[in-house]
Amino acid sequence: MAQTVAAPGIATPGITRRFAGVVGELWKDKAGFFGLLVMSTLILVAIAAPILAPHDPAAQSLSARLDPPFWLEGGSLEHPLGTDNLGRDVLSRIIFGSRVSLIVGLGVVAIAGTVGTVLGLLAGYNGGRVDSLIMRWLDTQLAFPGLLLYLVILSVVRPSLLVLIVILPINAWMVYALLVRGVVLSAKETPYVEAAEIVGARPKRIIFRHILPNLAAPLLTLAVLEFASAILAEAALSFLGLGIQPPEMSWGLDVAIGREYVFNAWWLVTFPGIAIALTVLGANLFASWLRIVADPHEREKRFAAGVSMTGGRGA
Amino acid sequence: MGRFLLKRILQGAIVVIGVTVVVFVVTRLIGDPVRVMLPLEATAEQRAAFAAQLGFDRPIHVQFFDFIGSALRFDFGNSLWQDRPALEIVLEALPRTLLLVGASMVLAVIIAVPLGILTSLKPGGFLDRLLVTLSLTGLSMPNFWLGLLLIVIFGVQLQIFPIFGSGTLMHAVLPAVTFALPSAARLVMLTRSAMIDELNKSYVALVKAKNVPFRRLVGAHAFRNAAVPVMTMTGWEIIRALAGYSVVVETVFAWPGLGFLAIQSITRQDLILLQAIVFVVALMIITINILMDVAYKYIDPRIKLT
Amino acid sequence: MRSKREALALILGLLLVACSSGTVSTTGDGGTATTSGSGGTQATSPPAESADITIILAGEPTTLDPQIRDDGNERAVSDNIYETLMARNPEGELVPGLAAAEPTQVDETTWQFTLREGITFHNGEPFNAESVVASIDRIIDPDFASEQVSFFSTISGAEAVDDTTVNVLTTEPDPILPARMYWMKMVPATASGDAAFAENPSGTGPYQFVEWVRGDHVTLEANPDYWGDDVGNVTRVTYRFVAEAGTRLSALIGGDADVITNLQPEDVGSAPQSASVTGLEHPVLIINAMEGATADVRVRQAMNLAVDKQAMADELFGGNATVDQCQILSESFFGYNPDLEAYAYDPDAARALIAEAGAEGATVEVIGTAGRWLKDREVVEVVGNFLSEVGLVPEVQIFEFDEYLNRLFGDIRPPAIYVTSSNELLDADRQLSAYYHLDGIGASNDDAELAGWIDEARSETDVAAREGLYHQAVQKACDEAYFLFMLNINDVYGMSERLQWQPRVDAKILVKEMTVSA
Repeated sequence: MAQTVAAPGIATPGITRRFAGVVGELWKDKAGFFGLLVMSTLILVAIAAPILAPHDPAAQSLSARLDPPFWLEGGSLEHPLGTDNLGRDVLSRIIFGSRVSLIVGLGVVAIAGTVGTVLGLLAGYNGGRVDSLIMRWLDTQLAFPGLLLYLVILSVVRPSLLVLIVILPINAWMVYALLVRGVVLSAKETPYVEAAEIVGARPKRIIFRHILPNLAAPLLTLAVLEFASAILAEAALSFLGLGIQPPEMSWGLDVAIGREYVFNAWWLVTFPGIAIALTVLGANLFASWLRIVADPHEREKRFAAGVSMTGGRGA
Repeated sequence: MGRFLLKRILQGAIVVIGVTVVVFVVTRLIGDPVRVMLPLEATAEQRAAFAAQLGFDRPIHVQFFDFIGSALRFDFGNSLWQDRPALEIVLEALPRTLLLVGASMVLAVIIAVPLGILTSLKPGGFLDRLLVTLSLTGLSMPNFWLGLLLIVIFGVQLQIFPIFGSGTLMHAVLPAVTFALPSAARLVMLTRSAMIDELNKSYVALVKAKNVPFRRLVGAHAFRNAAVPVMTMTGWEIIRALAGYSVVVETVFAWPGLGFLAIQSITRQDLILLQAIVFVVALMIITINILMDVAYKYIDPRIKLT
Repeated sequence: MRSKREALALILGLLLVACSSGTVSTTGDGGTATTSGSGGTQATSPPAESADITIILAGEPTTLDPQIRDDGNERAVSDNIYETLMARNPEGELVPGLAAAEPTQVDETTWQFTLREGITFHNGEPFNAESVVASIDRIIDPDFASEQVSFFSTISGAEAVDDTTVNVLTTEPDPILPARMYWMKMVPATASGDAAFAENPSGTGPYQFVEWVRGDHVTLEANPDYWGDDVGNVTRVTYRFVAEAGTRLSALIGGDADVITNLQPEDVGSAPQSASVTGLEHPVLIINAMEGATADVRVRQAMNLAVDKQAMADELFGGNATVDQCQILSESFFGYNPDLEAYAYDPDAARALIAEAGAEGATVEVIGTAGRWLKDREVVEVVGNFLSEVGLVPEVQIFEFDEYLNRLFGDIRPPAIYVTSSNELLDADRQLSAYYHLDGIGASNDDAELAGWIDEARSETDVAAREGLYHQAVQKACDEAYFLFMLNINDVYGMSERLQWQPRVDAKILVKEMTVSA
C-alpha cells in the first residue's frame, strides 16, 4: 500500500522526462510523427465535426448533383470537394464520416482488446487445462472462414454501427490473446516473477505488478494496428452493403455509392477512399514507430544490423 | 507425425461440423428463399405451394438431419438459384479464386522478396525507410478502392487491360494486382524482419570470419530465409481468400470466384448453395493448414510439430 | 536441401493446379465486321454481311430452361432461343407469334390457338400441337415447381384438337389468356422427360445454343432454318455477365461489348451510343391508408403533392424516366387510364393539407431497400427529403432485402414502403391484384369497393367492360392517394458505334432486331 502511494511521487519527474524524450524521438522519426498527426487530426475532426463541416452532410439538392471539386470547371468553393449523387456536400460527409471510423475503431479495439487480454492472461498465467482449452478454441476458430461468417451473419441481422462493433471482435480478439499469452509465458520465466512466486505473492498481484507492465508497450502497438484494421473492415463491409446503412454515413458507404458514378464523378470514390487510406496509414506508421521505440530488442536489432552491415562491407 | 496428423484431422472435423451447424441455423432461422425466388406479385398460396415443393415446410430438425446426412455424402442438393448440384457450382468457382490468389502471390513474391532483402541490408537507412513507408501505404489502401482506381486508370483511360470477367490470363492482371499489393507489402516487411534477424545471428559473424564476401552471404541465406515467410504468406493468403476476403476484389472486377458466388447466394437466399460453399471452404482451410504444417517441418527441421 | 525443394514443389503444385483449372475463353470480339474509324459515320455505313456481337448483362442466367425460373438475365438470353404463341410488336401490341392467328374463344373457359406450320425446334423435333400441350403441362405441373406459376395460375391444361390446333383450358373465364401465352415459352415435347434439358436448350427461335461456360459466357449462333424473315445480320452473339454498372460501361467504351444493359442515366454521355425506352418499372410508395397519420386521405394527398416528380425524372434519372400519371401502369398496358394526371408539385398546398389534417410533425416511417432496382435507395432518400419540407417527419429506413420483404409482405403494414412494380404481362390485372386489391400481397388499404371492381374485371371477358372497370379502379386509387405515385423508369442501354437497334417497350433484348454496320 505504502509503495503504491509513494509511486506517483517518484514516477512524476521520470514520466515527464520520458515524455519529453518520446516526443523528441518522435520528431526525429518523421513518419511516426506524421502518423501521430493523422490520428490526432482524426480525433479532433470527429469531435468538432459540426463546427468544421461547411454544410449539413444530409442536406440534398437535386439541382446540384455531382458538382465537381472547386478547381474543376463547374465546381465552386461552396462545395470544395464537390457534391454527391443527391447533391450533398462531399467534404462535410467525409468530416462526419470520420466519426463512424473512430467509433468503430475504438469500440472494436476496446472489446476485442479486453476479451483477448483477459483470455490471454488466463491461458498464459494458469497454463494447464485453462490454457489448452483456450488455445484449442482459438485454433478451432482460426480455421473458421471469418469474413464468410460475417457475411452470413450480417445478411440476417440488420447491420448497423452497433452490430459492427459487436461482430468484428468475434475474430479480432484472437491476436490479443496470442500476444498476451506469449508475453506472460516469457515473463513467467524471468527471475523476478519466479522470486515473487517463491516469496508467496498472490497471483493477482504478480500479474498486476510484474506482468502487466511488460505488456503495456506491445499491447499498445497492437491496439493501434488493430484500430487500423477495424477501420478497413468497416469500410469493406459498408462497401459491400453489409455495414453502415444509409441515411447514416461512413467512408466505405460513400465509396460504394461513388462506385456507381466512377465514370463521371471520380471525386465520389476518390476522396472518401483517400480519407480511409490516410487514416489507416497514419495508424500503421504510428504503430511501427511505437514498436521500435517500445521494444528494446527491436532497437538493438536496428543498431546491430547497421554495425554488422558496415563490418561486412569491410571484409 | 502420425499423432500430429490425427490430432489436426480430428480438430478439422470439429471445425467443419461447427461451421455447418452455424450456417444452417443462421440461415434457416431468418431467411425465406421462396419470397426472394418468386415474383413480388405472386400470391400467398403460390408461395406456400412452392415452399412445400422445395421441402422448406418440414420441421426444422428434420431438415437439419436430412442436411447433415447428405452433406456427409458430399451431396448438398440442387442450388435453389441455378437448379443444379450445389457442389458442382462451388467446384467451378473454386479454381477461379485459387487462380486469382496464385497469380497475385507470384506477383507479390516477385516484387516483394527482392525489396525485402534490399531493405534489410541497411535497416534504418533511407531506402529502408522509403520502402517500409511505401509498404505501409500499400497496406493502408482499401482494396476495393485500389481496384476502382486501377479500373479507371488502366481499363478506361489507358485501355491496356480487360477489366471484367475471367476469360484469359489478361483478365486476371488487374484483379491480381489489386490482390497482390497488400500481400506484397506484408511480404516486404516479413522478409525484411526475417533477414535482419538472420544477419544478426552469430553464424553470420562466423561466415564473415571465414572471409566469405558479404554479397554471397546474403545470396546464400536470403533464399532460405525468404522461403518461410513466403510460404506462410501464400498459405495465409489462400486461406484468407477462401475465408471470404476475395469477396471485395471479386465483386469489383466481376471475377466469378468463390467470394462472388457467396455474395450472390446470400442475396438470392440460396441456402443450399451457401451451405455447400461454407462446407467446402472450411474443408479447404483445414487441409491447407495441415499441409502447411507438414511443409514447415520439411523446410525447417527446427520447427517442432505438436 | 532436398526437403526444401520438396516444400517448394508443393507450393508450386498448388499454384499450377489453380492455374490449369481456370477457364479458357473460346470467343473474342473479332468477328468479320469492322468498325468505321470515327463516330457518326455508322449511319451511312451499309450493314455488314455477318457479325459477331457481345452483349453484357448485369448477371448470369440461372438456367437456360425457360420454364423454371423467373429471372430477367435468363430471359435476356432465352428470348432469342425460344418463342411463344403470342408475341408483341416493338410498340407492345399483342400479335401472333408461333400461333398462326389471334386465338378464338370457343367457350368461357377455352381458348383455341391455330399453329404455324413447318416449324422445327433446333434439335430437329417438329413444333406442333403435341409440343404446345407438353409445354403447358410441364410448366403448370406442381412437381415442376416453376417460379412462373403466378403468370399461369388460371390455366388448368391443354388438349390437341389436331396437329396444328390446340385448346387451352382455364379454371375460370380468363380474358388475359392471350397475354399469358405471350409469356409462356414453347419447348420440345421431349423436354419434360429430359433432366439435362437446361444443359442443351432447344427452341424454335432465331438463335440456337452453342455453349455455356459457367461463370464466363453463353454463346448463341443464328438458326439457319429460322421460319421468320425479319432477322438482322448478327450471326453469333456472346453474352457476358458483369454486375457492376461502371465495369459494364468501361467494357463498352473499351470495345469489349456491343450492348450493355442497365446503363446508368449519368453514364449516357460516356457511352458511344445509347438508347432509352419507356420501361415496365414503376417505383411507388405504398401508403398505409388504414392506420396512423396516413389514414387521413389529406395526408396521403399531401405526400403526393410534396414530391417534385419532374425534378426526380430530370435530375436523378437524367431524363430517363417519366412522371407516373397517378397509376402504376404504363401507357402500353391494358387498363391504362389516359384521363388521369399526376399530382402537381405543390409544397404549399401539401403543407396546407397537412395542417388541415392536424398532422404537422407527424412521423412517417419510409422503408426502402438498396441495390435491387435502379436508384432504389436514392429515390427513398429523395422522397424523405421532400416530405420533411412540408412538415412531416420522415424516418427513412433502408433495409437489407430480406428484412425489406418482411415489411413489404408483413401483416403489419408499414406507414410507407417503396416498391418497384414491374409488369411483364402488360395487363393491369397483375398490379391491381397485388397492390390495389385489399387482399393483395402488398396492399395497404381496406377499400372493398375497389377490390370488388378488380375481382369483377378478372373474369370479365368483354374487353371494353373490363377496361372500363380498370379505369374506374385506378381513378379511385388516385383520388384516395393509396400510393405515392412517382415515376415510370426507362430502360437504358449502351451500344457500340457499329450497332443499330431500337429497344422495345416490353424490355426484351431481341438480337434479331439488331443490325451491325460494316
